[in-house]
Amino acid sequence: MRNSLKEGLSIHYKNKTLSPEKISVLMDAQKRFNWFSIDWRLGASLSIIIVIACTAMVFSFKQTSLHDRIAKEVRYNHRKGMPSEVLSNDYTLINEALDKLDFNIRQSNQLGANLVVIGARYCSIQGKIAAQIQLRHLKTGKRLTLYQFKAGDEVYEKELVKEETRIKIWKESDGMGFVLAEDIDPK
Amino acid sequence: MKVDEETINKLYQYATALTNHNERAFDLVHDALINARNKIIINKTAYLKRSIRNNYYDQYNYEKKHVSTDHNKDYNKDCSGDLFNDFEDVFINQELIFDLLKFLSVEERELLFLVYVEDYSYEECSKITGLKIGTVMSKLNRAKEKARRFNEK
Repeated sequence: MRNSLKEGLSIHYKNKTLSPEKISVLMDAQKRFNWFSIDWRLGASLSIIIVIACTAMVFSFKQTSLHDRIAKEVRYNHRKGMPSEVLSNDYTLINEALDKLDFNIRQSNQLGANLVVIGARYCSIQGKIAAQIQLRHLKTGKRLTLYQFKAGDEVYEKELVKEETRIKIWKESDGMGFVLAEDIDPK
Repeated sequence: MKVDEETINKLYQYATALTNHNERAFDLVHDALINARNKIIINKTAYLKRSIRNNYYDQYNYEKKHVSTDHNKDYNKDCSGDLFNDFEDVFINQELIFDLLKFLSVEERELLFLVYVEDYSYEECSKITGLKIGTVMSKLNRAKEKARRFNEK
């Protein structure tokens, strides 16, 4: 078939059409990114990550607050200097005297050999019953107070300074929590 | 706003005129649509055509630099004269169109498409291609001369 160049080219190009499949691919290529079109699995994963991150942040904040509150309370008790209800360096005698405690007072693993027990009294930490144990440093004669209580999971090791008192908080493997309060020496 | 099926086919025809290759034409249209999808464009068809053209010439210039693809180098020599003869009445066998297009340069194919298929004026072609009107006319004449000679062979 003989056509003019114009007709020939028009026929040639107008016959060039895309298949429905290819048209569909190109129509899809025009779709804008839509947040609502995110795959539900991706959406669910993102939501879970956000929830975990928020929980971790809140939990972390709560823990910081709890340790701060403990330190503040312990510093107050330490500075108050209330007398011991039982004066002894024998843990058996102390435990017999403070028989309302729901745990046994014992030597902490983290205390140095230079600290000796001189007595103890009832106390409370954040509403939980606790023992305040009076200690004395053999070399310096310095008075320290140690607090023992049943610690929850939220207690972990932390050292803080509250108005010239160094407070060290820790938990031992049997779940017992300890707080040691010591005055910082003025330089 | 999405371009419709008819416009997509027109874009594809234009891309085919440039590339003379169906798959490459499809890729060019696809890339242009992807690039345009999150943009606010007033005249989308014109924008897409320009995008197709620019992308193609980027590729073409790159290939020209690195690979010799000028199939019609020798043929161009034969058509260097008779630029301003009247070839309005060039007739060609329809079966030969495909082969003819292979022997035309990109610019010639594009201009023939714009003038004969899309019915653009020389002035509009000049704006689209960035060539002067005189150059548009001489290139079209050269293309028509090639077509005439091709048909005679």
